[in-house]
Amino acid sequence: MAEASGTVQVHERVRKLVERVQGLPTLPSMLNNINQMILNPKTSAKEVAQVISSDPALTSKVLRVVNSSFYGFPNRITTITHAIVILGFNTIKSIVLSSTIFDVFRRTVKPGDFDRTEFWKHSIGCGAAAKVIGRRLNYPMLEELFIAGLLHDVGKIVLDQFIPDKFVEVLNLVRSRDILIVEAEAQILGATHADVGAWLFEKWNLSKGLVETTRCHHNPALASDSPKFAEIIHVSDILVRAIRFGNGGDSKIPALHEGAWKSLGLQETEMDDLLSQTSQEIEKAMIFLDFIK
Amino acid sequence: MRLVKTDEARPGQKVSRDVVDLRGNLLFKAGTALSPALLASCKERNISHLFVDEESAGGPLSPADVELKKEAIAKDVDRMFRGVDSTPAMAALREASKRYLVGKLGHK
Repeated sequence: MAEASGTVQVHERVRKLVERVQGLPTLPSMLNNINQMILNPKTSAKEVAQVISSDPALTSKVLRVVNSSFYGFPNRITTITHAIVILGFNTIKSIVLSSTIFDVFRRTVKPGDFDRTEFWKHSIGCGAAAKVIGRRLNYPMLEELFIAGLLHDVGKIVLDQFIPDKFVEVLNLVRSRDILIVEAEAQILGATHADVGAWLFEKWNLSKGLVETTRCHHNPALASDSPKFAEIIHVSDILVRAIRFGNGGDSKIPALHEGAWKSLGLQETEMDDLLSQTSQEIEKAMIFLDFIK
Repeated sequence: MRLVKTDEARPGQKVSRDVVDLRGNLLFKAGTALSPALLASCKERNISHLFVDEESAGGPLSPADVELKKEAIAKDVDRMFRGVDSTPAMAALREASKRYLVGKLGHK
């Protein structure tokens, strides 16, 4: 009962916070169209390809990613139809989703204290670490893990872009007290980037797993629909901080949730391998940084 | 290979990946040494970061410099983990982080 009441309070705080956000972008209708098409078992690769191909910039980005070392295909893929046939609907949808979100949150205000390139590098690193952990656990949905890692902190961009004055206060508190950004947000805003990101993804009708993982990446014990997913992203966020790749706005490291660490069955003796494999996976994933150009 | 901001890249450093513009057009190939003109061209085209070869990213460090850097890494990693390293997993991660970062130093 107390937990339910706490959840309601957080929702209320997020609602109040986002009411201040003017002109929050909507997800382009193309992505909704693609989602609907993919749900229909009669949809062909050619039909989805036609929708994507109607946007030349998006087409070029998707082809650059599918031809990068991230996927490592020996032969060049030259059409979206070919890419869908080889990689499947879900992978192409993930690439389109991430490219679209990078576009939606392209900086429209003058650069402030929050370094977006460092932010996206941290996010790419988190996705790469999630793939490494997923592979070790034989987790079936590596693509979804990568995207969940890539997008887990999107709430920070919302705060930076839409309530910049308050977010500067958050960053100043982080620096003056050397604390985690999530702690500073809770103190100043009464809600965190995790709440805001989850709220946004819910509003955009993205998958339940992505919404929950985004909301619970600092406390995976709260995840009920996809706990493994949230546990992997939680650990990945911490691993990528340990190799100092990118920066999500603070320079402390959160504690690994003991339950999550044990639940994943990872061992302390694996740490060196986890860090070096994450670093290798990041090199392949850096093509995603091109999306912010 | 190291990712550096274009603003911080220096003439003479070699790029370790092909450099393409926003439309995917090749500007220059991996292995090319950066010149002031190439750097200016990258900035004009809003290319914010470049991959450069570790060997060309800076001269070798003296043994004394390496020791100083190792100490600085250990100190900063300890600061980063302060207050959260009481579990075996976090203590192991703290030490692995130091080994990883010191190892990267050896490649510069």
